[in-house]
Parts: sequence; structure tokens; C-alpha cells
Amino acid sequence: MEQLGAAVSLAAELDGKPVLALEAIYREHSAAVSKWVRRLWGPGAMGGTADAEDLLQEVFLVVQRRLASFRGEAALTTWLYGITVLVVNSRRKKERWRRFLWRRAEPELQLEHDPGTPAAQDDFERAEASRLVYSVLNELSERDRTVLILFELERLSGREASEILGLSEPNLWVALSRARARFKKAFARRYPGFGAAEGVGHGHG
Amino acid sequence: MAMVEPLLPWAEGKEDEAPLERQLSQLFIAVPEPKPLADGSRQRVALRLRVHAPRRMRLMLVQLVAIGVVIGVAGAAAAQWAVVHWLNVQREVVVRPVPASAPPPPLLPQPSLPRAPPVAAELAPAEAPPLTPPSTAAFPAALASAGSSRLGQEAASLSAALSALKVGGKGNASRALRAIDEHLQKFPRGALELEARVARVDALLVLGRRQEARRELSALPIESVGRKNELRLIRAELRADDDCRAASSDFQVLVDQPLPSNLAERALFGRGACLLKLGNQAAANRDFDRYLERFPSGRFADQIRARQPR
Repeated sequence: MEQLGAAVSLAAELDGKPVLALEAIYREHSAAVSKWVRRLWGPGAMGGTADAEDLLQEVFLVVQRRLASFRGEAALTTWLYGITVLVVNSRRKKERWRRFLWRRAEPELQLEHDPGTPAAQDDFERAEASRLVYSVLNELSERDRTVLILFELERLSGREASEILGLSEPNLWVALSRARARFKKAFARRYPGFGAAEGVGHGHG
Repeated sequence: MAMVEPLLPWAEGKEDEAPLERQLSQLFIAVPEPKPLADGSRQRVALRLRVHAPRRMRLMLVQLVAIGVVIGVAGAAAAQWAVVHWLNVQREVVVRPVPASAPPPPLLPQPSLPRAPPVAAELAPAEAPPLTPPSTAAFPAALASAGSSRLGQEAASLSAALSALKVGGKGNASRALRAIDEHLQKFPRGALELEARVARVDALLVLGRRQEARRELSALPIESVGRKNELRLIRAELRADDDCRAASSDFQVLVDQPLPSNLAERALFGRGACLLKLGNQAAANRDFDRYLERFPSGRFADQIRARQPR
């Protein structure tokens, strides 16, 4: 995982030319942003590459709008990650409404059809671990879900995660410990027998 | 605060952790890192950003306009439905009690039958429930919200008139009639003109102004009204005052179709009475026999039995 704190600063990258800066930022960071989008969205819940492209575009449209107000207090990548979190969570809310209005169930994983996911690599156990984790994460609030994704899956440091979420570090630890407790409870409720048969994903690391 | 100590990710969990934490640790380790979008995909997005940057914005704008149109159409439909539904309810509640003091033109010829009470008067049974006082709560919220529209104004105006009518009594009927006439003047070709004219008939009947009620009713396209059978019956009963031939055709239409028993009873008796007036005693007797068979304790049964002692 790229360390966000080591990101290039905006001033150095943009050199005071916002139009060119967007292109430069896109060139430099679009691959990472597309990974974050997929991480935050979760596997299978997206329609595939087209949705990921849409979200990537949406993130950079927001970047374009906010570029002028970026002061460089945070690292560029932290700022980008914060925008990605907002865009993805906003889209998730819309999707929830759509599912509610059209009475659609939460789509299950379709990893076999998504070339960007591990199923394409025939890694069934990893895919299964991903499905288990996200199925529980999707039951949590957006805040709990995001905290856990940033800290447990992205393995960001407390400082990076707190900057992205706009929290103080002590508050982040509180939020994290509560999110963990809720995750464990939801996990135990959803998969009561998990672990008895030495669950999925063991031995990978 | 519950905890301010920095935590380690589950994936870096220690050996002495609880079983569930250990399992979660292994599970989180196993979750693979997502792959970035392929170069081709990212180039497509770059192109969209450069050439079609506002695509998403345009989509959002189209979505907003579409949602606005849908909400507008649905709101208008709901308001119209509420108006029509509310008026239907009002019409069902309004009863036409013809007061006993109303001039009773005999339906059955004299002296072959004892003087028959006016049919319309007979229609108001003694045990008729009291009229429901007007309820402002019954006025639907959608209607109130539509108050700024012409239809809303028209409905509000008519509802005031109907409320007076529902209270009952000649004084209120008089007030209702004035309000209805004002309403019809204000909205001469309004969407609710037909409902207003039907309410006018109701008010005239309460006031005992049968000839005016008859004229009003004869001019109405009763086929377009929800209570068409009831209105046809009232029209027939009014016509029976002096034109049994015209009334018979209305009674005939009614007798030939399934009706609620209170209407069927009146229609059958009315046809028999008109046939008797027209001199067709045999056909009238058939109707009266049929009446006694179907409504042995009907409100006209005694009158018929008195005429036909068996």
C-alpha cells in the first residue's frame, strides 16, 4: 500500500496551473484512485468496469471543482482519498435508495464476471474472504464501514485515516473500536458457525 | 471516551487474541487488494474529463428534470384524484330528505288506491341516520395543497356549499342553494359543474321545489354521474307527478337491471304505480305482486295490500 504521507505536494505538482494540474494529478493518481474506488465500493456490488469508470470520473470532477480551494495542508493523496470516500459513499446512498425503490436485493458477488477481482485469478478462497468481509461491512453504517476499510483493509495509519475522515486521532480510535465491536457482532450473527470448520482464507497472508 | 489507545489492524493481530479476533485477522489478511482500472479504461475517463467533463452533470440535470416532471405529474394526479374521491364521498353522504311539509303530489291514482305519499318523501325512511355534519378534516390535505390551482379553488367553493347541505334542514338547504348558485356563477364551465348541478338538485328537493329539481335533473347528462341509477330514479319519481309515460321509460330501465334493494323497491313500485295511472291494471298488478314477493315488508307493501285485498 502506498503511504499517503509520502505523496507529492500540490504546489510542486501543479506549479500554479490548475488546468494542467488536473491532468497531472490524473496521470499520477488515477490508478490509485481507481483502486480506492474498488476498495471502498467492495466487490460485486458494482456493475463492473463501467461503474468504476463512472466513479473515477466523478472523483476527478470533484477534484476539478475543488482544486482552487486546495491549500496543501494535507498531502495530495490524503485529499484525493477524502474526495473518493465522499463520492463513493454518496453513490452508495443513491444505490440504497434505488434498491429500496425498486425492491432490489443487495447484489451478491459476481466475481467470475469482473476481471478486476480475484476470481479472474481463480483465487476462490480470497474471493470468498472478500465476500464474507464485505457482506458484513455492508450491514454497518457508512461511517463504521469506511473506518474499517481504511484501517483494516487499506492498512492506513491512524493519522492518515483520521485526516481522510476529518477526525482527531483519539476520536478515530474510539470510532474504530466501536466499529470493530459492531462488525464482530454482525459477523457472529451472520456467520454463527464460522471458524468451526477452519474458515475461508486461512493461511493466506 | 471509551478508548484512545492506538490500535493495531486486525491483520497484524497477536497470537494470544480471542478466537474470533484470530479468525477475523486471517480473514482480513486474505481479502485481496483490488486491481486498478486498466490503462484503456482510465484513458477513456481522461478523455471524458477533457472532452465531456460535464457528462455526469448533464446526466444529473436530466435526472433532476425527469424527477421534477414525475413528481409534478404525480402530484397533479394525486390532487385531482383527491378532489374527485372527496366529492364522491360527499355525494354519498348527502341524503335528500324531503320534509313532510313538501307538497305531496299523489303517485297512485285516486280513489283506487289510498293517497300515496310522494315517492321522494317515501324515500326518506323515518329511521334515516342523521346527516353527518360537515367535517373539515374530511377535506383532504392534497385538496388543500391544491388550493392555489383553479381546480382546488373550485373544489373548496363547492365543498362549502355541500357542507351546508349536509347539515340538513330547509334553512341550510337554502343557504346551500345560494352558495351553489354563486359557485356556478363563479365557475360557469368548471371541472366540477356536473357535481354542483347534482348538489343543486339535492338542495331543491330538500326545499320541496320539485318542479325546479325536475327541470334541473332533466337537463343533466345523468349517464356521466356516478349516482346515475339513483338520479334516474329520482327523475322518474319527479316525472311521475304528471308524466307517467316519460317516467315509465326511466322505471323500465331501472327495473331491468340489478340494483341495491332500496332502489329496486322504489323502481318496481314506481313502475307499477305509473302503469296503474296509465290504465294498464294487469301489468300494474304483476308489478305489485312481484313487489310483495320480493319485499314483503317493504315500505309500500301495506299500501299495495290495502288496494289488492286477497
